[in-house]
Amino acid sequence: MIRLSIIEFNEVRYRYPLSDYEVLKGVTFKIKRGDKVALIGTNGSGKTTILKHMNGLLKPHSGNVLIDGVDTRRAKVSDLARKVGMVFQNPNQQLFAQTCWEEVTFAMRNFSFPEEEISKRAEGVLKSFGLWDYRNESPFLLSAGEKKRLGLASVLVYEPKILVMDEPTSGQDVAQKKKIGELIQGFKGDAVIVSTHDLDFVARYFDRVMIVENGRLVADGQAREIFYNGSLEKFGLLEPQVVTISKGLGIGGNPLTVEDLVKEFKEGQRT
Amino acid sequence: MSWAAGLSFVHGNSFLHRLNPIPKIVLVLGLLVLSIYVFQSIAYLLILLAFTIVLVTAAHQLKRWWGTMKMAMVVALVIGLLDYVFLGNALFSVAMGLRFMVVVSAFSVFSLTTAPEDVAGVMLTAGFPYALTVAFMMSIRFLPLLAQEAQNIIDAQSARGFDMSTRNPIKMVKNYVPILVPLIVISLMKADSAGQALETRGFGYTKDVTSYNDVRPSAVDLVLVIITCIITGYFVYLKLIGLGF
Amino acid sequence: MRAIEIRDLSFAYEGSERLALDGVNLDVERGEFVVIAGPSGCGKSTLIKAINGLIPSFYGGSYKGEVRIEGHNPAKEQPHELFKVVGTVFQEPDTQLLTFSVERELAFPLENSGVSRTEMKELVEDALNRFGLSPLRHRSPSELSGGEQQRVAIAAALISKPSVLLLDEPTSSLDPRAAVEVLSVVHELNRSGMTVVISEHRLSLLLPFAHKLVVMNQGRIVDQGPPSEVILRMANRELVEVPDAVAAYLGLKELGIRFDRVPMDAHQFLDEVRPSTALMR
Repeated sequence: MIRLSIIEFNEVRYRYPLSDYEVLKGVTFKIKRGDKVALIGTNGSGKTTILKHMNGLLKPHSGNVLIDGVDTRRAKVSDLARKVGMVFQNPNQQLFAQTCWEEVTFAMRNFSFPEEEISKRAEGVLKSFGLWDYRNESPFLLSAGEKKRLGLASVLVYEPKILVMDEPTSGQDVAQKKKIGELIQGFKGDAVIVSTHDLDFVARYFDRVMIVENGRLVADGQAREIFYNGSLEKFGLLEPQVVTISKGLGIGGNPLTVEDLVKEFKEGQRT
Repeated sequence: MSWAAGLSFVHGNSFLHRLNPIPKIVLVLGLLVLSIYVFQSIAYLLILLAFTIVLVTAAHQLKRWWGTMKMAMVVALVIGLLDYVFLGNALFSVAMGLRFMVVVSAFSVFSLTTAPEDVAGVMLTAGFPYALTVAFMMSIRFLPLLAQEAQNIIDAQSARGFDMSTRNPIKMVKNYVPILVPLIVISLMKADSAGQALETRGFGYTKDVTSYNDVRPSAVDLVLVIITCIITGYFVYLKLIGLGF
Repeated sequence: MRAIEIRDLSFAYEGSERLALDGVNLDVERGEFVVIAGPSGCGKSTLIKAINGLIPSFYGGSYKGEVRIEGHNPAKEQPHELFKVVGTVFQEPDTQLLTFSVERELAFPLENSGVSRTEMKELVEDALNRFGLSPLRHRSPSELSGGEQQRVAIAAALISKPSVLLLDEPTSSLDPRAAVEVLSVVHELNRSGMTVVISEHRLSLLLPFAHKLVVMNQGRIVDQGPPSEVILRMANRELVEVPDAVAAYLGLKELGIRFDRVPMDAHQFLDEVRPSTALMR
């Protein structure tokens, strides 16, 4: 049977151990093959908690999470991690090896990839991320931006089917954000899920948006619709400038980027 | 409530909150002496525990205290079981478990009602160098942050397929490298940040630092200290002359 | 006297050959609001540390050139002597808050400078009111939201009444709402006369009220001047984030729309365009 949804959250509720407070209060959604989803919401809304349920780091108190049909409560994190590659916000939390090469091959060794496979992929990913010159250097000598690239490379190298990222653009400059966006667009796996509060980035690179507030999923739909139907304001999120301008000028077509805005404006002028 | 809830300071206006740190320190020491050295029987240990519960209630922090005590009970159970397995004396084992709980409870009462800055203030008046008292405060301040980071690191490495479960002792030691190295690096980075903050907030400007709160003990505080010492001393004396508790 | 004067400043961190700062020249007048922007590693943070004295005291390395902050020389005075002249707010909200309550956090710099208890209580009360922190006074810094933490950091940096405020990517870890909250506090401070130097990536929140935009790359200042002029020169260079309002301005200008001035954010944009164009669909 071909399963359409590769990630399913069914009424997921979550409480931290020894705590009464419910961080997730019944979250339900399905992610299909090919989806590129942005989870947005204020800090503390539960976005990261939702991400951590996707590779089994956290298991729901009630409800369940299915990754490609597998219930996360019955699977080991190390097994789920083979399918779901997760990149955390702070690369310093994972860098530990003597060289960048060792760092990049860590995951593949954990998954028992054959040696030639490991070398081939490591070389490929280091080159495409511009880190080949550092392969024998300590990862601790890299700049902050390079560290983040290394973290990303270490996950993409083993080609997980699903890519999950927590605040990939925080603290990044223009060029770095662009590279990350292009990477997301070009990702050949089954799905990309990103938690972020960078709405300009979301507007440019994502079609589907889910708003998380206070542990609940309060909106789920196309970015074009959600950014224009007042949901952002309703849930205390800052509207991207493109949206403000386009609403203020009465431009149709719900543009999400400046290029689209200018294009729509041109169309509007002709009529 | 997390298990650390009973070990963090919470502002309040109860008698214990407003009390100078010195009598509170002496009280905890007295409870330690009584529970560890003097009292052996379960009945007396329960009385001590009850006493700490009265104090916590008076300070209105029962909920947080309970968060910590739940975890303490688990550890107390382990201690009791281990003692029973190795020594076979059921009453002694229960007493050991209770002893642990009294100690944790005493610390909890103290931590909940005493601002670390005031403890540092007492250290300063006692003659400790300022840098040391600041270092003491910093370690309390950053320990919870580092504990959180440790968990984040375990999560990040698990997410790369790192499996910590193994029976091989050599592998067990090796397994700590991907956890310890990032933790040490992050700790150093946080120390660097904290250091920069200390410098730019004037730490080191003068040796004559002042303190926001007055931590000099009043007459009432000294009386309380004396009373605690007398009571504790009396019980120690009774024990020394052979009375059993 | 100028607030800040930097002449031919060059610096390389200990053990590194690369120049983190390469012949930097910058003047900041009193009351100016200066934004420093540029790609990661361009030297923004290093420049800020050279102004408050962390460089060269806290970070060894090769130091050439001169810096004057309100007449003081940070190469000769330690940061803990300069803190009454310049206050600094750092990127990480949590690690720069060193105590266990907001009240004590504000008192800490005063304790360090030996201020009397009565004066301390007054100054702390004052600051709590001024920054809207009174309801939070007994709260532990770790319990606060990112925006609240940065507001506390600002209040603590300013408690010793410096005339210059430095901020090193203060909104990096904040969500947009919190960023707006914090930056509006900074804007208010500048309106009442404080000299502000802030390094940031999110320019759209700052350019509407900044006096000067300084763009750095690889340790050098590549451009500086009024934001509306500099940002236009930065379009298509991928060194700094060009606010969407500016990109929209450039796009619409090509289509023939007339603008009186370059809008720095959506509101300024709509002020410019609405009166002069009828294009309702």
